[in-house]
Amino acid sequence: MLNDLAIEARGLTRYFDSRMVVSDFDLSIPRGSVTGLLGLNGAGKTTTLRILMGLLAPTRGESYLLGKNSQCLTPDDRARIGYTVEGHFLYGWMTVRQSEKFHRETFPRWNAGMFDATVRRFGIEPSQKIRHLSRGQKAGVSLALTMAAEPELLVLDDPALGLDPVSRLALNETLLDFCDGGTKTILLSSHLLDDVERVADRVAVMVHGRLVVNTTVDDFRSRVSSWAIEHSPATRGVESIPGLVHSRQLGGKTVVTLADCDQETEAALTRIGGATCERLPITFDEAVIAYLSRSRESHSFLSSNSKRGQERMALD
Amino acid sequence: MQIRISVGNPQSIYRQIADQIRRAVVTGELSVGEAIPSVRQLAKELVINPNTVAKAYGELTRDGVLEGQPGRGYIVANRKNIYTKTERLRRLDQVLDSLVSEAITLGFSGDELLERLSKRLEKLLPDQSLP
Amino acid sequence: MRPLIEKELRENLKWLPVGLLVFGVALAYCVIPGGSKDYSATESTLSASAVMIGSLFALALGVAQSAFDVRTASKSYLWHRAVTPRAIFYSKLIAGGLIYAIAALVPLAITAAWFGSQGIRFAPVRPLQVVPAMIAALACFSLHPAAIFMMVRSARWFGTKLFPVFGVLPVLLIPMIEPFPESILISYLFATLAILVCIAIVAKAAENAWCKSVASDEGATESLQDWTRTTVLCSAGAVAFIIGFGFLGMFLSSLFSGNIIPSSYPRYGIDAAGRLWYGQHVSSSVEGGILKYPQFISGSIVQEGKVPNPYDELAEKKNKKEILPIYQLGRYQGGRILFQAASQAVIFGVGQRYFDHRGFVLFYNFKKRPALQSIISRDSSHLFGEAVGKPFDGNPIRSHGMMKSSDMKLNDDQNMSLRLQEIWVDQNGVYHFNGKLRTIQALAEMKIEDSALIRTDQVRGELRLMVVSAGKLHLYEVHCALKKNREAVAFVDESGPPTEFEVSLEKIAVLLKLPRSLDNCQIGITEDRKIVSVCFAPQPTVSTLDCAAGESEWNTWTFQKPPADRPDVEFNDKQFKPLVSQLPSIVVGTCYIGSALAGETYIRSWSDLMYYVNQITTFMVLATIGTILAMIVTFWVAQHRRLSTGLKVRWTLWAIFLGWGTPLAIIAAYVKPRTEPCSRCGKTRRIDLSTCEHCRAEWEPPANEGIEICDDGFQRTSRQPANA
Repeated sequence: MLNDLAIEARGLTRYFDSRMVVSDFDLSIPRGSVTGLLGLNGAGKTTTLRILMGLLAPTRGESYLLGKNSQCLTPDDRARIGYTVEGHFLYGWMTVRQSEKFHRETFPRWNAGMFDATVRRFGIEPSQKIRHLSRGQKAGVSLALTMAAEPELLVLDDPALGLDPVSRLALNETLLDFCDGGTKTILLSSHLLDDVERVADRVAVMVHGRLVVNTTVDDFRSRVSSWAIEHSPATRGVESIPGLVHSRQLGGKTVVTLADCDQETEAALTRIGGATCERLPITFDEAVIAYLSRSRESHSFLSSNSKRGQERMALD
Repeated sequence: MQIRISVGNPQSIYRQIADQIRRAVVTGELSVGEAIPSVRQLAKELVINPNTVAKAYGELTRDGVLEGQPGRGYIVANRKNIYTKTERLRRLDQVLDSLVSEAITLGFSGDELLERLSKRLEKLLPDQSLP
Repeated sequence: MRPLIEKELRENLKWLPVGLLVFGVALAYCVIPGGSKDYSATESTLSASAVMIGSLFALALGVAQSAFDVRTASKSYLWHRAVTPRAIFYSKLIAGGLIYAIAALVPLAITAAWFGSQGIRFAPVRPLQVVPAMIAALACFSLHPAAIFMMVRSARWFGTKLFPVFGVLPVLLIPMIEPFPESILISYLFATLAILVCIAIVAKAAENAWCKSVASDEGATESLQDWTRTTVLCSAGAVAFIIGFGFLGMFLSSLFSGNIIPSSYPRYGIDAAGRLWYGQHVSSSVEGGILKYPQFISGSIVQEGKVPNPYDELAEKKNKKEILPIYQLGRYQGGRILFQAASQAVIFGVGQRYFDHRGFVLFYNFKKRPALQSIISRDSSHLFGEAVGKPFDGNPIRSHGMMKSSDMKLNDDQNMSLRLQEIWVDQNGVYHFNGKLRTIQALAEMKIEDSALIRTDQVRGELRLMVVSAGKLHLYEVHCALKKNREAVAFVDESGPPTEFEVSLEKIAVLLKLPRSLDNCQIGITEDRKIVSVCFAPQPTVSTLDCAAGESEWNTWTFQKPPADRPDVEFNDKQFKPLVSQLPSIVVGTCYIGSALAGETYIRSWSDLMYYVNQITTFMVLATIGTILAMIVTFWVAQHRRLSTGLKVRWTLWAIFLGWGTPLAIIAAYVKPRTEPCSRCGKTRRIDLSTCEHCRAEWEPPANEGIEICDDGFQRTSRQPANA
C-alpha cells in the first residue's frame, strides 16, 4: 500500500511552545496526482510541509515520502523529491548559472535541457544575478532547479506567492509539463484558488492545523452545496444544521454552505427555511472560501459546532 | 473547434469540456470520425490538469460520443446506441426528474417549461421539427 | 562537498580582511618597541592578544556562517539539496577554519619573521616566542564550532543558548598549562594535541546539534545521547557556575565590608630579639588613600609545647612593624620563558636587563640603536656581538627567596651609584655586578643549591646572604665600600666619573648541620645574628642559633601544631565572619571534590599531607555536604525535566564530579517537556510521546466537526473512537 502513496502522514502533531500548530494530521496522496493544499495564513500549511520534508520534527506522529520516513531521508531519497521553499529562497550573490552549478552537483540525474527550457519560459538570462531578478523570475529559477533534478515527487510551498499573471501562467505550464507522464506527484500549497482548480485534481484544506478536506476536486465540488434561506425567526437556528460549513448574510437572505447534504440535512433546511429554501449554484472557490471563512470565525462558534458534529456522529 | 473554459464557474472544468464537445457533436461542428485533440494536447492548450481532460473524454467515451482509437487518440464516434432502450429511458427520466422538480421549485408552470424546452430543441436540432 | 565549501568561502571571504586587520593591529601593538616596553612577557602578551582577537574572530565567524543558514527559508533550501547535514556543517567548519587560519597565521608569521630578521640586537625576542600565540589562536578556534552549536540550539532562555560558548572556555586555558616544565617543545606539542582533541570534541558536538536542529525543540525528546554534547554542556555548566559563584562572592564581600580588605595569611615571623611569631600577615594595601606596608596584624610568640594563636591581639601597635616575616629558601628552576626580566626591569637611566635562557644577561637601552648594549656572562661583559664566556646556571637576577630584586641591591637612597650595585647568585657562585660600569666580578664560587638574601630591616638594615652548598648552610654578611675614595660623591649620574665599589662577603658562619630538611623549612635572621628556623614535618620544630654568641649547635624544641589555616579568610582587624567565610568552601568544594581527591596543589609529600590533614578534613566535610546537596538538586532537576530513571541516576552520579554544574547542564541540555492532562487517567502527560506514560493511553483524535470531506476512508475510520 505504501508504494501507491507518494505522501502519507499519520497523526502528525506539532506544537510551537504550547500552541498546537498542526493537529492530528492524516494525509495520503496517491502517486500521479496534483494536490492543492489550501488554508489561511497560519493554518499550518508551511509547518506541515516542513515536517513532511523532514526539515522540522513533529511533536508526535509520523510521515512518509515515497515510502521513506520523513525524518530519515537520505540524500538519495532527497534527490527523488523536489522541494521549493516559500518565497523561493536562493543565494542572491549567485548568478543563475552558478545556482545551477551549485545545485546540480548533488543530484545524480540532471536534466540541463529542462533547466534551460524552464528558465527561458520565465524569460531569464543565465548570466543574471539572482539578486537582480524579479519575484517571478526567482520563482522560475527555483522551479527550474527543482525540475531539472527530475524528481518523482514535487512539494511546493506557495510557489505562486506574489507572482504576476504571466509568471503564474508559466508556473502552471511548468507544473503541468512536469506531471505529464502521469506518474509524478505534486503537492502544492497555494492561495490562488483558480490556479488550483485548473492544475490540481485533488484538494486538501487545512483549518486550524487540521485537515478537513482531502479528496478529488470533483468529489469536493459535488459534496459541497450552497442554499439561500429567506430571513425568518427560524433562521437563527442555521447553526444547528448538520454539516454546516459556513453561513453568511446576503441581502435579505442567509446563505449556508453545507458539506455532504443528505436527507437529514435537507429536512433540517426545510424546517428552518421552509419553502423559501433555494439551492444555489456553487463554484469551486466559493466552496473553498466557505471553509476558509469558517476558520476565521471565533472559537466559541467552532466549539459549539464541533459538539453538534459529535452529536451527529453519534446519530450515525 | 475551439474549446474555452473558465475557472470560478459553477460548472467544473471537466463538465465544461464535456458539454462543449457534446454540443459541437450535436450541432455538427464536429463530424463523425473527426479527430479531436489528445488529452495532453488539450490540457496543455487550456493549461489544466490532464486528468481533468481525461475525465471528460472518459465520460464522453462512456456515453458513446467519442471513441478511443489506439494510436490515433480520440475521434467522434458514430451515433450509436450503446445503451438498451430501458437504460436510455432511465437516464432520460433521471435528468427530467431533476429538471421538472427544479422548474417547479423555481415556480415555472408546465407550459412555460415546455415552451423553453422546445425553443432549446429548435436551436440545437433545427432540422427536426417537433411533433 | 566542494561546491558547499566554495559557497562558504565566497560568502565569508569578506571577513578575511577584517580578521587580518584586527590580528595585525593587535600583534603590532605588542611588538613595536617602545620606551618602557617590558619584553620579558612577549610570549604572554602575544598570546593574550591572540586569545582576545582570536576568540572574538572565531565567535563572529561561527555566528556569521550559521546565522543566515539557520533561518527557515535558507535552511530548507540548503538542507533539501541532496547532501547530508553533516556535509553542510563540515563545509562551514572547513571554510571557517581556512579563513581563520589565514587571518591568524599570516600576521603571526610576519611577526615571527620580523623577530627573526631583527634578532636580539633589536629586542630580546626570538621567532619561537610566536609559538604560544599560535597555540592560543588554535585554542580559540574551538569557539567557531561552539558558535555554530549555539546558533542551532533553540533554548527557551538566551542564557542557556549561550552555553556552548561557556563550555569551550576551558579550552582557552590549555595553552597556559605547563605539563612538562623541563621541555618547552614537549609542552607545546602536548598543548597542541590536547587542543586538537578538544576541537574535535566540540566540532562533533556541534555537528550533532546541527544535524538534530530540525527539531527546533532540541532535547524535547531525550535526544542528547551523544557524549560530546553532554561534555560541552557539562563543562558549560561548571564554567557558568564558577562565573556565577565569582559574582556571588564579589557581591557577598561587598555586602559585608565597606572597605577593601586585604587578604591575610597565617605566617611565621621573627622579631628583633630572635623570637618566633605566628600570626596573620597582610600584604601591602591601600586604605583610605594611605599605603600600608605589609605587616602582622595579630599573632603570638611560638612557645615550646604550646599552640600559637595567630589571632591573638598584638600587645603593642609598634610590634606590628618589628615582626618580620621569614621565608623559605629559594630554589633554582628552569622556565619556558625565553627571556626573563629582573623583577624590576628598568634601571634608572641605563635600560633594561633580561636573562636569556641560554645563560646570559642582556642589557638593553631602547632609546639607542641597536638597543642591545651588552651581553653579560659569568666572567665577562661584552658590547654587542655574539655571546661568549661562561653562561650562568640559572637566572642570577631573579628574586631570591621571597625577596624582591630591589631588596637585592646594595641599597642606599643617597647614592645613585650604590643603587646600581647588585648581588647576583646562580648555581655556581655569588657575583657582584656593577650596573654603572656593567662589570661583573665573582665573589664566591661554589655549588649553590638554595640561597636567600635577607635584610634585617625592611627599609634599611644589614644585608645577609644565606647559601646552601654541599649540604652546609653558609651565612654571609654583605659589605660594600667605595674602592677609590676619591671624593664623597653624593649623587653620581650617568655623566659622572666612574665609581668602583668594593663589595665583599664576610663569612658569619658555616653550619654543618642543617635544621632538618630545607624543603620544609623557613629561615630568618636578626640584626644581631640570631638565626631562627621553623620546620613543619614531621612535627613543628623550632631551631635557633645565636652566631654572635658563638653558638654552633642548634637549639631545637617543638611546639603544638597551630589550628587549621583558613586560606582567603577575610579579616577585618577585629571582626571576623565565620559563616560567610565557610560558605565559599561549601559551594566551591563540591565543584572540585574530584580534583581535590586527585591531588591538591599544595600537597607535595606525605608529611605535607599530614600537616594539611586538618584543613583537608574540614574541606572534605564541607565538600561532602555540598556534593550531597548538589546531587539532591541534580536529581530534582532531572525529575523535573522528566528524564528516564537511568538518565536520572547517571546525571546524579555525575554531580559527584561536576558539582553544581550538573543541574545547570541538565537545564541547558534538556528542554522541559510540555505536558497536557491525559484524557484517560487525568495525570499530566508529555505531548511528545504517542502514549501516556502513566496509563499507556493513545491520543484521542480531535472530534469531527461534521464538515470533513475525505475520500480515503481508511485513515479517519480506522482512527475513529469505538463509540462513533
